[in-house]
Amino acid sequence: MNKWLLGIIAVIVVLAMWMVGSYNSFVTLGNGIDGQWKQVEVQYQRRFDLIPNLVEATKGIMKQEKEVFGMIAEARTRYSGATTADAKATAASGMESALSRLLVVMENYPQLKSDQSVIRVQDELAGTENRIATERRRYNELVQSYNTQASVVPGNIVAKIFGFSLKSYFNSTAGSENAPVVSF
Amino acid sequence: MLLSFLFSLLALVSPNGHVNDLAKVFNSSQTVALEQKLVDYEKNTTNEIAILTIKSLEGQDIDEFGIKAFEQWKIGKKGKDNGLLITVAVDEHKMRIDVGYGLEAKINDARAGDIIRNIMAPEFRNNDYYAGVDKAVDALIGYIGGEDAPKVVQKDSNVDWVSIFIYILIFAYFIWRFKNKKKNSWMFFPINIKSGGGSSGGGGFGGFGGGSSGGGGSSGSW
Repeated sequence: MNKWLLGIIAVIVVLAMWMVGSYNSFVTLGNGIDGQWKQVEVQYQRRFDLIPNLVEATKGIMKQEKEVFGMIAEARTRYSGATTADAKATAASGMESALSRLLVVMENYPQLKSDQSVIRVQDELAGTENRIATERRRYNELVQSYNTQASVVPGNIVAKIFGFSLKSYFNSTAGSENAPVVSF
Repeated sequence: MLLSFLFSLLALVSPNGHVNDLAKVFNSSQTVALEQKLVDYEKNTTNEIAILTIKSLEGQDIDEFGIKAFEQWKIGKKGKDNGLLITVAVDEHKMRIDVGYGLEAKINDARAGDIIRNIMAPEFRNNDYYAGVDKAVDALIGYIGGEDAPKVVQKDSNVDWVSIFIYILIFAYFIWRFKNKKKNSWMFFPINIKSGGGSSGGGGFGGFGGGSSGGGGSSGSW
C-alpha cells in the first residue's frame, strides 16, 4: 500500500480517537458538575430541614418576634415550591436572608445563648452553612476546569463542533453575601 | 482541579504523622503518646484521626482552613471517608473539628460543638493543649463507639488527560513506525501516570488513606 495513504489514515485515526476522548471528557466533566450541584442541593435541603428545629427551640422565648418567624416560614414555602436549579438557588438565598434576620434578632435574647438545645441547633446550622460553602466552592472549581477546557485550544474546537457551551458559576446572588453567620 | 491543588500547596505541608504540631504546643513525650494512641486506633478501626496545630491562621477563616487541610491530606480511608481532623490555631484562639463524610452520622455537628465547648475550650484556657486534644480524641472515639465506619458510595470519575494524551502519542508513533509492516505488530502499553498516595513524609508515615469531607464538623474559640 502507498505509504502516504497509510500515513494519512493514521493521522485521521489518531484525530478521531482524540475527538472521541475529548468529547467523552466534556461529557464526564459536565456530569460531574451536575452531580456536584446535587450536592449543593442536598445541603440546602439539610438547612431547610434544620430550620424548624431552630424555630422550635427559640420561639418560646422570642414570642413577640412574629415578623421574622413569618419571613422564615415564607422562605421555606418558596424553597419547597422551587423546581428548577435556578429557582432553588434564588429561593435558597431568600432563606439565607431570613435566617440571618433570625440570628440577628436572637442576639437580643441573651438567655438563648445558654440554652443547650439552641446551642446544638446552632452548631448544626453552622456546620450546614460550612457544608454549603464547601460544596459551592467545589462546584465552582469543577465549572472552572470545564470552562477552561472548553475555551483553550484545542478543546475549544471540540466544544464548538459538539456544541458544549460554557457553564455558569455559582454566583453570590443577592442575599448570599450576607450568608448567615452563626456564632455565639 | 489545578486550582484546588494550588490552594492546598499554599495552605500546608504534607503530614508527617497523625500528630502535626506545627505550633509546638506539645512536648515530645506528649506527641509520642498521642501519635501512638492514634496509630493504634487506626489499626483497630481503620478510622484516621489527625491533629494539626498551627501558630496562626494568617487571616484565613478556620472553617476554610480546616476543609482545605482535610482536602489536601485526604484523611480517612478512600471509600469510607472515616477521617477526623482537629485543628488548633494558637494565636487566634480558634479550634475546629472536621468530620469526614463517613463519620458524620456518629460525630454530628452538635457533638463536635460539645467537644469543643465542654472539653477543649476549658483545657485550652488553662494552656493545657495536650489535655484538651487528648480528651477530645477520647470523646470522639467514644462517640464513634470503636466501630468501623459504614461504607459510603464514592463519586469519583476523573479523566486522566495526561495518560490519554501520551497514549495517543505512543499510538501515533507506533502507527508511524510500523506503517510498512503488518497490522498485527501493533502494541499497546498499559501506562498509568497517575501518582499514588503521597509517601514523602519522614518517619515512615505513608500519608492518610484518601478520605474526604464535605465541611461537616464544628468550630469554636477559647
